[in-house]
Amino acid sequence: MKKTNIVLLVIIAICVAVVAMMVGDFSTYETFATSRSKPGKEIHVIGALDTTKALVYDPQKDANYFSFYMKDKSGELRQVIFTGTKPTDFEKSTELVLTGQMDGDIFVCNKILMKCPSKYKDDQEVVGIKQA
Amino acid sequence: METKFLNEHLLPGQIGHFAAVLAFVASIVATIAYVCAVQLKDDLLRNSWKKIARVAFLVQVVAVFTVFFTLYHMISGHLFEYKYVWQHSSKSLEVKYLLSCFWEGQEGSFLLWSIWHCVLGTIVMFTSKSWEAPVMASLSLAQVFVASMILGIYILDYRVGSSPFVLMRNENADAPIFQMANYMTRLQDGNGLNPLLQNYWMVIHPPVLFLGFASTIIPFSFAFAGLWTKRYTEWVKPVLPWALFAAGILGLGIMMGAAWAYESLTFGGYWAWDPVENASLVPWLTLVAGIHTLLAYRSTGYSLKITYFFFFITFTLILYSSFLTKSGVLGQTSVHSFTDLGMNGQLLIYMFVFAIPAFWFLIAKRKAIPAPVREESTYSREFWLFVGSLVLLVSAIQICFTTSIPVWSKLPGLKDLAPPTEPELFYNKIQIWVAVVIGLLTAVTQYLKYKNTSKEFFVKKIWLPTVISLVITVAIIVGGKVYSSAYGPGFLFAIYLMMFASVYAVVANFAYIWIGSKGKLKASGASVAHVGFGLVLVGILISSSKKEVLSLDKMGILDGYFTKESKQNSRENLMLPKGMPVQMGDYYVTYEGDSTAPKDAKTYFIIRYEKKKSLNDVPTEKFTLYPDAFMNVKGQEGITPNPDSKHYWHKDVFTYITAVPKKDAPETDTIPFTPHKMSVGDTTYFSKGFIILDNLSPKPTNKNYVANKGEVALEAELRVLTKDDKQFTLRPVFALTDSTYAFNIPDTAQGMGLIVKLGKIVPEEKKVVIETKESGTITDYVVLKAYVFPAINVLWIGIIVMTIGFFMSAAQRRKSK
Repeated sequence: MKKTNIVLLVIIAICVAVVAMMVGDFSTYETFATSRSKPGKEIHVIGALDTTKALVYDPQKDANYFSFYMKDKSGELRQVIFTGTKPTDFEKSTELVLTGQMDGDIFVCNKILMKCPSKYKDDQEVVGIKQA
Repeated sequence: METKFLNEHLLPGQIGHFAAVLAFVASIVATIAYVCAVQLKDDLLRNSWKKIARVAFLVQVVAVFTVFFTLYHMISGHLFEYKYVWQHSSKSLEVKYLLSCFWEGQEGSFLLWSIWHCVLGTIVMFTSKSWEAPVMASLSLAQVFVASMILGIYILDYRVGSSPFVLMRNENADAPIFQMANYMTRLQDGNGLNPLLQNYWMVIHPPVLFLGFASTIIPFSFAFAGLWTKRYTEWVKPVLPWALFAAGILGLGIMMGAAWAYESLTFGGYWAWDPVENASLVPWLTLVAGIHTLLAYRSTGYSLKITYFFFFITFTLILYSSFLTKSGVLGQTSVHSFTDLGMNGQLLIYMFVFAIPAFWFLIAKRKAIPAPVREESTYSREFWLFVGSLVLLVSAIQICFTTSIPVWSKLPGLKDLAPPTEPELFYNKIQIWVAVVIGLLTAVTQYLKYKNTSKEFFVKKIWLPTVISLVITVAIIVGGKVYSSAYGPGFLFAIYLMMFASVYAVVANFAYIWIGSKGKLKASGASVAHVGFGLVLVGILISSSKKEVLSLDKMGILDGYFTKESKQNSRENLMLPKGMPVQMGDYYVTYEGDSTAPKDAKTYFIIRYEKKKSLNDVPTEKFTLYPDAFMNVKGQEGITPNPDSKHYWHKDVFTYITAVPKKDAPETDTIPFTPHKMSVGDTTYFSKGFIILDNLSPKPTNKNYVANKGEVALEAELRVLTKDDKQFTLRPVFALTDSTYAFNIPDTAQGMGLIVKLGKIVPEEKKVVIETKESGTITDYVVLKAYVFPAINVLWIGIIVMTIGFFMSAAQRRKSK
């Protein structure tokens, strides 16, 4: 067999291995209910902010504690604790994508992506908040 | 009844729209004429078609520039009757950012792409001689598609493109304001430019990046022309300078985007593996791979087919990336904001019209592309160039595959598929191995000769750079104390390997300028580019693996308690009350206040850094940073911050504001401390719990206190217990110098907003006075994040060196024609 063919085969094998390894790390969009059945696994939950409940962020007490309530797609309402500051214009968000996991009755999250209505017709603008 | 609207400026819009349509039609004519100029047998006919094509293309160039200047006229003249102008600009915008308005919208970014195609096309037209017709045919066809994106006309109920010249009153015809004939008197100002784009990088980064995008069509067109005109091998010579130029510019454009992210975004870094960043990086990787296989072919005759593949895939990936970023498909995964203009179909057709014929041609004609029968030697340069290119391809596949998750999730059954939750770790742990292999190959391959290299020759030349690199690597690891990684020992091992590989790439290529090219710098473009690339790797590695969070809030975290969760949810926000120094790493940092300037929408926060061992020391170094923020833009709650950095040659101290209090509450005067007379064992209360005086010690352990000779000191050990069961210890110190000068060092429980002082000693009662103050009084503060990025300048210098190297090679290859 030619050397280039061997190299190609090795590269293909590496690709397959990498893809197999990667797929395990892919996350899924879940609900609070399904998140509870996977303790310790970080997942994404899509939902909407419940504006009737209190938003708590008081940097004088703790600059890395932000708490709010979100309703997921199945309608379940949960308290969410975010390790960080309150994102700009959070109240106006129409949709939230949280990354984190359930801890008892509370969803502990370390990243929030939010969608805000733009002042423009039905356009949706994505505004991101990255939190290391 | 037709309303007659007053005070509108309709002429620019009509001129602009006419020019857009003209550009579209003229590029169709140019495409057809160039195809005829290739296909027809008769020389005379071919020449006359070529003349028609040239005229049509130049007409198209004039039309595109007319569109550009018309739009610029509209933006700078604040003609808010046009939707594009209203949407992306406002009167208060500084003149230097008017250009940024162009590329905030998709129409403007297509226009920019089109302009670069025009410039590049005109150069190709007059320089590429026999290749003109087939190359320009592809380029003109691309112009047809790009022009269609800003057309905004309806063909059979389907809107083709989105015009930047539509009027507000036509787009929102039902709005009450547009029922008034004099609506222009009400439409005084525009929506304004996104504050994140009001940054000088945003003025220069998009044009450079789009020049990179636009120039990838030229290698594609040459490769395609080679297959089309059956000149399978001749195209490689004229294409090389173009490919080098494209790779240089595209790389520069990508990293300018990184510089923008670093300077004005709050990622806390320059690269976040965001889909938009990835989408432009992937074609750069395949283009660089293609350049290397092309060089291998030119010297040995191997790797021609794969060169075709790389140039085809590069342009296809450019089109794919514009589909990803402009179609709105990334929706839930990207931090960049893109809206769906309903052009997904158009973008996909653009991609397939170029990709399908190219790859079909390549497969159909694979037998006709010459390739040597003999195998390449393992000790040859071409073999390792080939291997390196495949490694780059693997890297590109991994990034592309993951970035495309939102596309995969459109497939049946994969609806819930989401990107990895920790993208940085996810990409880094695979790409670090790619970087190791590529770094090593970059170092070694130039020392191999084409065709065959004797082992003695190779070893003789390579041993010195290898030893030097090993020494430098060990020095960096030991000197920089790179002893731990957040992701465990396995990752640390990979970091060591990558450190060696990237240092090796720098040293070996630097040495090659003398060992290989005998000091002829003009002929060393490749070595220069490789040195730059190596420096980029070194910079990336050090700045990310040794990134240090200064603003770590240790409140509520027990020391030594580090779980996976506490790492992920690291508490990087720290509150700084106004005027009170807070310790952050080696610095004491004070928030001094904020300030605003006329004609500048931003608020600047004055953050003073003092480097000193303890609070009362004389600082060894002082500097002030001014991170700023747009406050409550357009009725938004909250702030849009911009970071500020102190630049050293070896590191950056990087700071940005994450929250500020609402300023509507009036500032109150500082409330005085409340004294409590206590002896050991006594308890006193504060609003959130109680304080117990546990001990009094003449030997203070408070870090802020340094004992001086002849000084008498007393430290109180106070246990604070809060209502929510938190417990911590405060150690205020009282000291007397020469029995005459008394001073004290307070201690604070940050999260509680509690400040305690050991006020005085009452020896006759064997008591001390503990004074407390609570932060109900602290009304002005900022919450910020601060990082140290070591060696970040190595990264930026690397980019510049690499780009220079690319251009040197391009110039050199152009001359050698």
